[in-house]
Amino acid sequence: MSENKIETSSQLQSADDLFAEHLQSRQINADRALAVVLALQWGFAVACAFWISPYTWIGSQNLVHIHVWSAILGGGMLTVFPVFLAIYFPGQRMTRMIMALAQMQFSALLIHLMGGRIESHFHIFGSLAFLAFYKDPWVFLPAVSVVSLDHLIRSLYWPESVFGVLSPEPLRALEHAAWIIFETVFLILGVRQNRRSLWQLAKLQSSLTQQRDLLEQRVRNRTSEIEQQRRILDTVLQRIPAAVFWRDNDGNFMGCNEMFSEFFGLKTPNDIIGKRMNDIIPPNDQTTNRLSSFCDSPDENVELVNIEETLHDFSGDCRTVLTGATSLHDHEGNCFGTLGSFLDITTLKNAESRAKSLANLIQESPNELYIFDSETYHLVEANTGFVRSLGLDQDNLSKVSPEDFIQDCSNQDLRQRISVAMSSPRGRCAFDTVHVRKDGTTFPVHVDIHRSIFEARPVFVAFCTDLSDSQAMERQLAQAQKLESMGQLAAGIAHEINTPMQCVSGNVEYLTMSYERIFQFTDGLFELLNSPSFTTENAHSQLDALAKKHKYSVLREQTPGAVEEASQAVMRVIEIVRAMKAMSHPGQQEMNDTDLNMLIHQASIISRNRYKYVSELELDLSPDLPQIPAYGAELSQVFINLIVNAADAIAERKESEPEMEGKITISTIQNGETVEIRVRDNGTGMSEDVRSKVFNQFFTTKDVGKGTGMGLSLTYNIVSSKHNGTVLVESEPNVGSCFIVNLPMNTHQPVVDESDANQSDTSRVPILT
Amino acid sequence: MLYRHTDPGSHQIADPLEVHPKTRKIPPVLYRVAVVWACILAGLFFALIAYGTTPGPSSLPPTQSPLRPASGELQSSAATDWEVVMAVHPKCSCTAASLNELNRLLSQVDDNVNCRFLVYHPAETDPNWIDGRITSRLSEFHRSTIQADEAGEAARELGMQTSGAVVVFDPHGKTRFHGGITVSRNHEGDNLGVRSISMLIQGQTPPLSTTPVFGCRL
Repeated sequence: MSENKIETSSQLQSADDLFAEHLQSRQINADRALAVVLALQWGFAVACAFWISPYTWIGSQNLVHIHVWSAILGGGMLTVFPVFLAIYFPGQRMTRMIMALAQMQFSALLIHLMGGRIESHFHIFGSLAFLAFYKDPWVFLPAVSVVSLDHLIRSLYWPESVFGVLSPEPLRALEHAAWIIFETVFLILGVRQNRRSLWQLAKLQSSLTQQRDLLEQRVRNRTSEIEQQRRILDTVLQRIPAAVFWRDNDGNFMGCNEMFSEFFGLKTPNDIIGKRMNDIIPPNDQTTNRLSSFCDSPDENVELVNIEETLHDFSGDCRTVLTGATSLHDHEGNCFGTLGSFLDITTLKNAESRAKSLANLIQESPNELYIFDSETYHLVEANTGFVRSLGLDQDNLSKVSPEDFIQDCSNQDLRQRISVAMSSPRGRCAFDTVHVRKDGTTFPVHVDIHRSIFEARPVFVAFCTDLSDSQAMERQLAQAQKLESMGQLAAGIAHEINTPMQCVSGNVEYLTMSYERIFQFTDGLFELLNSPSFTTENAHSQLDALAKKHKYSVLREQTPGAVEEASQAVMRVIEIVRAMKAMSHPGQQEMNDTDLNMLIHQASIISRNRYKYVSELELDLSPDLPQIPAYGAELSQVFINLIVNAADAIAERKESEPEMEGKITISTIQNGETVEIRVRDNGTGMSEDVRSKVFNQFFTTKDVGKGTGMGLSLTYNIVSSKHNGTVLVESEPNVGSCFIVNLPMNTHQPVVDESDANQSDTSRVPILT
Repeated sequence: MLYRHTDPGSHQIADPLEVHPKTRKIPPVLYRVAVVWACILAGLFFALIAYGTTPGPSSLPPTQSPLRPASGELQSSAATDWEVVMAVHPKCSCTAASLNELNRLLSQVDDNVNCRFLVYHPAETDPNWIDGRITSRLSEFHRSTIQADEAGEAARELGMQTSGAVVVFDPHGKTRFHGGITVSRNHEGDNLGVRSISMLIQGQTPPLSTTPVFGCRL
């Protein structure tokens, strides 16, 4: 089926609907009109009955005539039900059929009430004509049927009532019906003509409606498009990050967007309408900027593009703007105004200036900063500090990669180290290493690398801090602390040395007296031997007398003991001195296999004078403890610090609890690949707050002059940084503390985790409670 | 603002040709009500027709006219004139149809017919009781005699017991027809009574010499 046929079919369908609607509308009107007619007829019938035959008589007695009842009751029935249908169900075929029946029966009733007057029979023909208003030929069927049935029944049973004779001619009954049919036929023809006209009207209306709908649809579509374009334009105007305005040729503003109105302090964009440039821009701005000048005298052939100007906003702030303007033309090309815009770039300019300053700061920073490609690892950018430190050529940076200046670290090693570190959520990698200058010299650095984007390419940014000074400072600090410890221990050590030395001195004094007596004894012995009085008989008695005189037996008995005692005291002194020597050794640059048990033993000797008055020291050292690579002097300091702190904690507790017995226990044990050293005391213990700061530099709970706050800080640094170990602390107030040092048996250069490096000193302290 | 909000419905106008009839379908119960309604009406009409076609009582009239001229009211009449005597109840509305039929009858025959109306007057009632539309209508008939009939005695002597009943006497005073001249109560129209009397007066053989009478009882 072609499109035209489809359209025609659709149109006919629509015309059918319209025809049905029109027809039903008219039928509804006819229902209502006939309902009124029925009601009037009812009244008329009742009036007729009362007027013509109000009573029936039997002699002098009268009764209400049956016509009156017929008019009231019969007329009521003929009226009420059809009127009910006409009111509530108008337009329905059954309604009009009932209406037709009622109207024709009303004809019969009226004829009857009016005594069968010939004139009253015209009511039938009038009623039939009235039914034509329904424009439904079927409505004549009940009407004609009623009349025909009435005549048929009357002709059969009361022929005289219709024809006036008892035996009418056979066709006489048909004659009456024929007249009815005659009229009905013409009425039906009229109805058909009316319906045809109505159909034509519906078809015309359908066509007009479709044309109208089509036109309306086009208008709606076009309106929607225009509306959409308006909204887009409006959205663009309001959302564009620029102030936009337009003016007519007389210099009056026709409109602007919100940014423009806000810039000049107007409540709404509509407030700009009708204003002139000098109403919103201070005169000095107007005279100095080219935007207003162009708008005041637009040149049709010139556009103002990206001109940087300064404007004062409503608060008086001077703003830097990027302006543009063009003339507006109508569809005939006539210039009718100016469209101008400006973009507030003050913030951008400030940011640009700040970025330049920051770039200069970074570029000129003495600290090293370099950026290298995340794929090729070739340098992309580096600041002056980096270039200067390494002695590189700024022009050849792109050929340099980190492996060229990081000692003993290939790009592959660095890639692996970065990939491991970047897998953490923070995505940063920090470590200490050594940079090699172009001339081959080296210097320690701390490198902090993070991922970033530089000029739209993924890169790694490395911040380097020269550790030469800080490491030297750290060494000096460690040495100072060591000296501090030695100083604090000096008196005690002197006392420790003094005691055996006094023993030595006493024994030496005794031995001096002893050998003088021995010499006197031997001299007496020689004299006796050379004496003539010495005879064999009295030799024994003379020798006994000599021995008694010089107490030889006492000397013989006591002298070896004195020698032994002196020897032991000397050994004790030697031990102390050896321990001091070991501790005060400035330290070696490399790790050596170290006996931790011996270090702990020596530390206990050196610090004995600090604890022996307040506690006992129990060493529970594992005899099978292997030697581990370590810096012995530094670890000695660690153990001394821990023992001294434990002794101080016990002494502090004893001040309030003099009867308590202090005890320091040092134990060593091998745990897999690590060696664990525990230094436990039953001193005052630490609160959580103290525990969290105990490894911080310069933090101390001791009185002024007793501690510098550097001992545990250095302990942490020595264990973690130099030995890649850990220091944990368990403590409970008034119960005691336990420092747990774990040292790896295979130490290598530790990598400083950036998370630790970033955190405060407090948080980087490992603590067990 | 470039964009100005407009009411999307404001451009629409009512279509003068647009019709939207509102109607409801008739529920099936009303079809049954309609059938009952039609049946009741049919019964009512049957009852009405039956009432209208039920004749009133009547009896045989005397074979000769027993009427003598009433004192003061008789009009002289020729020996060739036919006489139609009608019993009239002055209040009976059905009699109006009989009078109309009589008038139609008189218009069909020559002027050799005299009419006598025996107007019923109940005993012991006001003489004016008979005045009314019917009585005044009687005076419009030519060659007629209006005679008050006390208690309907005169009519009863002629065998008439129902208003509208007529008895026709030929010029010799012989009774030739008696009965009603309407097809039913208060119903005008061609009927056998009028036709028979008309044929009788015109010297033809009537189809009937007696017909039922429809009207109020005297």
